[in-house]
Amino acid sequence: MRNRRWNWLVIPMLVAFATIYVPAIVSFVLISFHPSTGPGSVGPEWTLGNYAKVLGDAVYQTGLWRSVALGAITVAGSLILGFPLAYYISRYSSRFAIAVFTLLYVSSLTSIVIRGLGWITLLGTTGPINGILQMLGLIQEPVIFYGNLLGLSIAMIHYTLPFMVLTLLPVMHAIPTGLEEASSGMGAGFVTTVRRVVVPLAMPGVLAGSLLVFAMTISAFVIPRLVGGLTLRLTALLIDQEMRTTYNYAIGSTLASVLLLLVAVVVVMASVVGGRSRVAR
Amino acid sequence: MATPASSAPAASVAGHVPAARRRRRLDMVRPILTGWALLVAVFLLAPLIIVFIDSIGVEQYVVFPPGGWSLHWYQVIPKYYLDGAILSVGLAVASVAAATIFAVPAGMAIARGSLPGRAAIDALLRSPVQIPLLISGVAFLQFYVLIRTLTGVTVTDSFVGLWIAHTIVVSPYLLTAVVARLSRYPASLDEAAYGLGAGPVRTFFDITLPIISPAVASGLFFAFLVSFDNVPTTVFLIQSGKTTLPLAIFYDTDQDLSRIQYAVGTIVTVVFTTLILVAMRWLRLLPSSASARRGGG
Amino acid sequence: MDQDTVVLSLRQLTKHFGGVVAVDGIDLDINKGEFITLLGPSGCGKTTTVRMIGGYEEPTAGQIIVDGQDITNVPARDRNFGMVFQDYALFPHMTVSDNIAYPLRMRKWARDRVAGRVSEMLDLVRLDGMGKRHPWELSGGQRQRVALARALSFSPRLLLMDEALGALDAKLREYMRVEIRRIQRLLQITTIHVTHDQDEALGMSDRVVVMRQAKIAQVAAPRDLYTDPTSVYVADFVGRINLLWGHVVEHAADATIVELDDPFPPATATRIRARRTPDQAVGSRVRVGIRPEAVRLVEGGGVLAGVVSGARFGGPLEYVTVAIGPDRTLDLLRRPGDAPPQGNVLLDWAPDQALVLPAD
Ligand SMILES: Nc1ncnc2c1ncn2[C@@H]1O[C@H](COP(=O)(O)OP(=O)(O)O)[C@@H](O)[C@H]1O
Ligand SMILES: [Mg+2]
Repeated sequence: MRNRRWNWLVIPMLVAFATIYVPAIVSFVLISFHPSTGPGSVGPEWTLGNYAKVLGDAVYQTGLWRSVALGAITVAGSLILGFPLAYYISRYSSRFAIAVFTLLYVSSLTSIVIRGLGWITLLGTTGPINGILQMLGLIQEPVIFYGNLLGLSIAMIHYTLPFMVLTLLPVMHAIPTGLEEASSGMGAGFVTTVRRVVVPLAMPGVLAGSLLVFAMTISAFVIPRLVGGLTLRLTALLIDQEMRTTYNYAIGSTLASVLLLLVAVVVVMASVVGGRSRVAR
Repeated sequence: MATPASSAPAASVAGHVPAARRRRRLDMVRPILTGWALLVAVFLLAPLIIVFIDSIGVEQYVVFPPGGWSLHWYQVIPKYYLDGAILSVGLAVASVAAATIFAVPAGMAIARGSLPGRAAIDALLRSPVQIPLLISGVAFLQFYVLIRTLTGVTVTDSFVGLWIAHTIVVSPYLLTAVVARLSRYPASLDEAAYGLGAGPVRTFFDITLPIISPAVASGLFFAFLVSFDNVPTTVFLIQSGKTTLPLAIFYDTDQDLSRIQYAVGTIVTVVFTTLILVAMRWLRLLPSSASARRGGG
Repeated sequence: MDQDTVVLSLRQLTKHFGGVVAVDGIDLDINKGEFITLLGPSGCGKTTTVRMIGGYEEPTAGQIIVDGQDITNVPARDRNFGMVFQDYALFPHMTVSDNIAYPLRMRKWARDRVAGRVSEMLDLVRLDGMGKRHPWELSGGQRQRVALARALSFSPRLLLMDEALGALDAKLREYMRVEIRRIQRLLQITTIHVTHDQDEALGMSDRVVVMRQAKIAQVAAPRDLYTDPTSVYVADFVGRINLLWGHVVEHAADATIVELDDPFPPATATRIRARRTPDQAVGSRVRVGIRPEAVRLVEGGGVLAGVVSGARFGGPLEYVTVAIGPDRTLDLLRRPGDAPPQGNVLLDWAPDQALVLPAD
């Protein structure tokens, strides 16, 4: 029963968005088309020079590629950890499975800054991870985790894993266990059943989760800043640097526009995938 | 089985695999998966536990493992952390309250109205969750700079500036919660109330609101957490003066890593974990799919 | 219907949903204390009609008149009608008592008066002691009775029920039919009930309104609807009927003579005597309808000859199918105790039992 008489209730929020949110988004995108004229100011002329600089300069290029690489590694890692976990939670309703499920929620909602603090110690050269690896005799010299993609991607996987699993879970739940029983009843082993039945049917969830994690990772700020460090020159960190240290609003806005475009493409892809999986059901 | 099951004719395989062997293989699956889950659980918990361990070491500087144990750092937490906590809570409450006032009616209009271009309006009003918090920070910073240039009014570094930005960023959590709840709300409930003598306003407060309020509460709760922990947007809008609690930890960690931050971190984690568990357990608040759309932190 | 005072009148009531005509110019008068049922297949406009009466849907055209007053534009809450929704629409966050008390609170009744009425209503629907429960703690039948109690607690002028028994299982539905009728008689409340179930309509109502494609096909008491349907549609929708094609040959003093079209085996009379129906002009094409229970097997004479081709067991009733032509059959009801008929048979019926219906 859709009724016109409810329509007006949208007006306050729509007006707030039209007068604040949309202009805010538009303002930095507009600034990206003006030249920088010193700290905190841009000139009135229109230019594509900022984009030429951002896409042509090695520093910014490297930052962009590193961000994408970090996204890809994080997607792979959270998928490897998360897929079996989602399968486990969806198939076993033991106390432990419920506890792990709860832990995922709690983890996804605890402060990101504080998790960053934890990773700083965990990944330190004298930290527990290096300690355990040395104790096991797997390494002689401590592994350097700080300031490179190795340590950062571990922390990013921690940050994104709950979102991956929570995206996979509804899809896993929707796969009837009868299909797996039928498959193993026909003599297929567990691995074959998973490969032939579970993975194909879970594909929409895998795609949606991967796109979500990718978008989150390339635009993440807190963990990269605390765990990765400035030397990594990830796009998100460069944006922060231009905006708050050198006050080059033109370049900062341009980087932000490029990042937003990238995220938008991924989000649109995710909604296409999501829409298609809904049609299929 | 020597040959992979997938390459053998399906019908004959079941008969050839000894039942006991098949049973044993299936029985292996559960322990392996449980072990995997245990591993992931340790991974998830590790940073939180480490924060606690680091908060009770004796040394001034953070070394692992600590040479001895002390609660000293909890006693020397500087006052600006408390101020930060007060600002964070105040900002989160004010933002969530403002977002509720805007987003709950808007959700009703989207769920029940016949808005022209409903899909587009819906997408616009939900978009702040899709946009990374960092980008929102850049956007509001540039917008406020523009306002200052045009009108001379300074919004940056003010509570109002933070409040506006946080309200917009968290409003989709409430909108999504309301729309999702109303989409499975039978129209007959409200009609029944009208027929029994209630007007539209009466019906909203007597019937609709109480029924959708658990969903709204869960939206409120997640919006609160997102606002409280939002560093990437806030960092651009506070350049001097008072900071929020997570931003204070963030800055101090950048400057000078000390056990005090770990002590504060432990307190925040304990308080929040308790809140989250209470919300999940007793209020049955489960996040709507919106929280799984949280933009990068 | 002791007093034939009209309570509710529908005048040319019409509803369009975009291009769909859901209700097409309905005229209907409903008397005080009457139990009237709108009957028809799904999509014929019953719900839309009852929702317009309740004030939940705005008519495109026409009027709704209650006690001589035009209430077409009066909002639902000021109509003072009780409505039982198909899904009951019980408020899930309120107890049974609070649900029943809700309309009384809206009418600002004093607290003790509310409590008194609530317990009366719980008694009436046989739910005493259940007042403190919530809707989810009740069975389907109990929920249905709470919905009824809530719709009646404020002594409405009219009770509306849209497929109110539809969600119950068959046994409970039969029981609730009797219960609802008992309560309705007790309170003498004018009731408009909607269903697509003909047994329910015939079993409960004082009068039945048969609807067809947004229009009223016939309004009559259940027995009259069965014995005197005015169209093939109603005859077929209400109970079973055998239908044969023919045309009117003449109107005799006590019967109408119809020449049947169907190809019949030789030596069968193709002119039959049917109920006298003078409004079907001589020569016009008609359908002749005979209820299975009106068909008798006879030893000699009879109207038609045929061969038994099958039988369908149905508990106390058994329908026997007789082939009366190459591709034409006729059902008859086998009486309990009769031997199953076999082979060639002769069929007969009283002329009055053969209805002459317009061909459509
Ligand atoms: N809200 C509506 N919007 C559009 N068409 C509707 C609406 N309600 C009913 N209809 C249409 O009106 C016709 C009558 O519907 P309804 O009154 O529900 O029939 P019934 O109750 O007899 O099954 C149907 O064709 C239905 O599809
Ligand atoms: Mg209906």
